[in-house]
Amino acid sequence: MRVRLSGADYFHHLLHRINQDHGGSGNCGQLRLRLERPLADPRGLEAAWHAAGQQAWTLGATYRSSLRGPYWRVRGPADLRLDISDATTDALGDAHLRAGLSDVGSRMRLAYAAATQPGVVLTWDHRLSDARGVIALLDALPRLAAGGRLGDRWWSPGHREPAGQPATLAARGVHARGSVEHIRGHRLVRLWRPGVPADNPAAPLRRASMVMDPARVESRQRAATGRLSETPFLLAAVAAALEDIGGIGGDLLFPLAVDGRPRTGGAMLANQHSFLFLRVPEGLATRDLVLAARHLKDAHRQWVAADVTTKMSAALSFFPIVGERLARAELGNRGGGLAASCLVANTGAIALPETWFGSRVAGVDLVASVPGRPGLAVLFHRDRRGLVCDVIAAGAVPRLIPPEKLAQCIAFQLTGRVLPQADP
Amino acid sequence: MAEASCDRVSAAVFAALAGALGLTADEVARRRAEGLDRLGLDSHGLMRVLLEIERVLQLPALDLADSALESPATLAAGVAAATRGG
Repeated sequence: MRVRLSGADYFHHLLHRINQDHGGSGNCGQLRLRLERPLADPRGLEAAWHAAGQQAWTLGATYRSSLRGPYWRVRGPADLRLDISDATTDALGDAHLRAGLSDVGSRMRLAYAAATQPGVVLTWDHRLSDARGVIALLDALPRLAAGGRLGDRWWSPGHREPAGQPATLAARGVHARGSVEHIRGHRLVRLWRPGVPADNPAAPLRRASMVMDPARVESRQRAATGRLSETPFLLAAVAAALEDIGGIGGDLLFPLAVDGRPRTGGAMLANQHSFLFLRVPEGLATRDLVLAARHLKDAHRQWVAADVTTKMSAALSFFPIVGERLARAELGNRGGGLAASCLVANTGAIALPETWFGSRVAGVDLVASVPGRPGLAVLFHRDRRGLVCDVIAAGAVPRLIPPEKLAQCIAFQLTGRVLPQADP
Repeated sequence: MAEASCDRVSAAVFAALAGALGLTADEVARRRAEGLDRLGLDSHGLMRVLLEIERVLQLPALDLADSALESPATLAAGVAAATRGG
């Protein structure tokens, strides 16, 4: 079966090529589940994983190219195997991130680290799904082990189109034309440069995590900026933290991943998210975090009101060369005048069953490969531990912006910085 | 007259929420007291809902207090108050 790519698929297809062209492993995401003790039932996990491949056929899909552009080829059930390793969770995760998925023939790989630091590592191709879809799959595995089913809607091609995206080529062309003004506007912005040259893009990623009290962050954020500025507040904190560390200049431009999937139904493995590009003027977040958050909220509103996510999505699927130029410019590769980028996402709550195959999941760390040139990703989510900020830096960036230091600075901005409206 | 206007606002609010949540407007009306968080609406989704309400009711940009963003019922009340200039 041939499955047409959606706009989000195109975006990630471009990222995948950028990563691979520069020596990276491709566009991979990864979840590292920290277990409190070894799994009581690893064989149950193995059986459930195999069942997932039998039911969600897209897990074994392959990308093909034709004159009409790339597409997915879905051939039938995927034969998924669980790797069991004696390595630690982090060692296993790092190895899989370096290797990518080319050697396993599927869009996901699952490994269980049964050693002193037990955990489960799930690595996936971002062209398949986003983090929320993958988390939903983990959530469903115990049900599969008990003989349950995912349902066809998990991989149905009809669910790959983002909401509001017209199906006909002519209608998408109209949308695509409307995207040009937004692309042009961002390409004229002076963007930050880390001031270090590009180096070996295949250099290992460095990552750090910081756990914060979600109630404290939320109460400060709500008091300072209101409910609609949840994610803008996090972005403003990242901007202020980057400026605090120093070594960068110019406006900051954040590609922000947005989940466009309907809240109900089972289209979990459909890649339906899109991107906003939000700009923070140089120095604004350092001077006034609240004002920066409001500025970002207004920019977010304008972006949504102009329906730019739909236009971008159409542009990516209608004439990919524009999308490719956009992706390279905005994500730190050639021609855009910037040497690095900061990709930000807020995944929200990660909820898994209290007991998962006989062990409790203490927490989940998110990792993503960033473009092959120097790059940075800041990923927020909430799990049992609290509000977690995962920072991933690649190439030459860690020398200038150590992930550990950036994570600490972000935590200070969110929980320690005095905010007039939040701290009496 | 005021009641009819209120019904029109509620209908627009519930329809916009229904579209965002993948529910029917009747189901949103039935669950009007539930928290928007609990119904699965994140801040990005909420922004889309507000824009849709502004479009349908032809309102200028809504600037609602957080208390109006708690549930479908408070949102309908908040939008109704905004349309009256309250």
